[in-house]
Amino acid sequence: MARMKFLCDADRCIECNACVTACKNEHEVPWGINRRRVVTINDGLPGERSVSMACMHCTDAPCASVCPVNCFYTTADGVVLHNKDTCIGCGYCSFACPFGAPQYPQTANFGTRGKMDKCTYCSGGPEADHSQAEYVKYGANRLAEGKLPLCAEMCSTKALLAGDGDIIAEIYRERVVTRGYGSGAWGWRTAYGETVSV
Amino acid sequence: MRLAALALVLMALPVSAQNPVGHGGPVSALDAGAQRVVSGGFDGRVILWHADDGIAARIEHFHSGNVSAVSLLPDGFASAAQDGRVALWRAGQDGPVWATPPGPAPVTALAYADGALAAGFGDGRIGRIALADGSLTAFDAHDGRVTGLAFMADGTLVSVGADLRFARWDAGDRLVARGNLPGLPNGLARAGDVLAVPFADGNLRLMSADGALLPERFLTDRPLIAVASAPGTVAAAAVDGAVWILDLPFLTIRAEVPGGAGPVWALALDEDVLFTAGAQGVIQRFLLADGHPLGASKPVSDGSEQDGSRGAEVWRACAICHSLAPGDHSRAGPSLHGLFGRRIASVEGYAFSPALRDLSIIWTPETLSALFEQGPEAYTPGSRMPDQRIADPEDRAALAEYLAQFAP
Repeated sequence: MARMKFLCDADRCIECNACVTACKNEHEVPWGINRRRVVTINDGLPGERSVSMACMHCTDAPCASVCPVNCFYTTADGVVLHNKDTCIGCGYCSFACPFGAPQYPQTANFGTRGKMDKCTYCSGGPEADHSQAEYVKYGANRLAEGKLPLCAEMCSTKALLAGDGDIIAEIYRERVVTRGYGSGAWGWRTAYGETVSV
Repeated sequence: MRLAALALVLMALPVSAQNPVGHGGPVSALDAGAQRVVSGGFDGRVILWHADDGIAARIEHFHSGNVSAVSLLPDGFASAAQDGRVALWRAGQDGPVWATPPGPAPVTALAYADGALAAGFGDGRIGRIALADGSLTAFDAHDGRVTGLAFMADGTLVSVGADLRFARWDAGDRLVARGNLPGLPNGLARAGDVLAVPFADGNLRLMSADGALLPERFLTDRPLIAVASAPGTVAAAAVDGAVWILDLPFLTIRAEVPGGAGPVWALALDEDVLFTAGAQGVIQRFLLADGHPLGASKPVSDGSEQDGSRGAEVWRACAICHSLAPGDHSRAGPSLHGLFGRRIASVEGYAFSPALRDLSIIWTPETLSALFEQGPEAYTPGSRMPDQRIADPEDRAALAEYLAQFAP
């Protein structure tokens, strides 16, 4: 079984926000929630870089380690999902996540009612694959159809890669060797506890 | 409301063995100074403690939801929570002096200095709050949650946020300085004229008041989630319970405090003592000089037993808010001891939602099953209980069987 990962090549991201829009549309993510966002640092200045941020589906995920009701689980593909039936919206995972992934609906005060929402790596939730209940709570399940997350599929510069961690790391290595520079696979070490050595 | 009974229980323990125990569930916020400690917890309580003997001087249950930030003031303290409210408490005065109205976003940070109080919110706003009447003036500061807030000595306000930005604001809320951060900040503490910021990438970084990055120390692979400072000293904590005491200005590690179980959400320093608190629900004390523990830790128990049954496993998700000890309503929800046969919202000693008091449900294994099949929003509308469901009928039956053991 592949270990699915995201890789964000900040040297390629052009801040087009197609990944954000694709995600929002594919899963009909409610108003006020973005499962993915693009953060630009040094905006308009030398050294400007943009990174596409969402849940990185960490190895030994910090969100899972702080959840007081154990609503997180990791699939055989290494995707970190959560059960909205169990989530109490306490907000602790948002303080533990290195990537600001957990989101809360603005229709409820977070911590009192709202259920946490985050990127599912386009692989649904604990409900039956492709069921209406799964779609309503978690969105589309592309992985069960043999497809990869739509954000990465839509990325015009292929700054955002999704797939087997070993394969996308190798693609990144080849890129860095070919172009002669690389500022690093953003967040890779924090999420997966290793660096992409070139 | 003062809980003299709790104070008496704590007083019965030898001082050296005491650690403040009083929150029913995780402790999320701490502040300490002048021999006082104030804490806020997931149980919605704010507790003022005597720092020297660990006796609870005042317990207030005002907020709805997790109390996410607290700050000591010269003549009282301020508390703030996920209900979006900030409340001011003064010594000798019952109830809050004032409280801001419930807001659309949780309060994530509080800062106080020299008569000025400010709050950071989960939607990126920063609010200045007049101490005289609690009036709030807010402005948009960050694109995302404000994760740290502090006043500098010159009265300017510094903030960090989930938009990976640092900002400094003058008294007129004008931007004085702005900077980019290399990762997600999870707090902010002023240490003299520099700032200590714990990051989710495991680095503790020092910053100047203009946002320039100064020396940093990589502490762990796990996210750092709490920070506190005193002259010459910074303390930081991680999600796995590890706590470090570091010397300024180079962040040299002075001591590593043995980690407890689960995350340490809050730190505070007062003279020679470090206070830590988190998922264990207990406030622990350590000697700042070398990290030596002061008194034995006493973990919180909800009265339940993990007997290996499926019901006990399902119960784990309930235990964050409910105790099974008789009469223990210290958690966010009431004790479920002797649940079956009881009318809804009938147990003494817990402030139920008015909507629940109007219902006529008698708790039985069947009604409990219906609650978790339909969810509290449908079955007990108006409840403060989060809308949880248990999809598997066998799990619902196992939970009922487990709960039935805890009866008079």
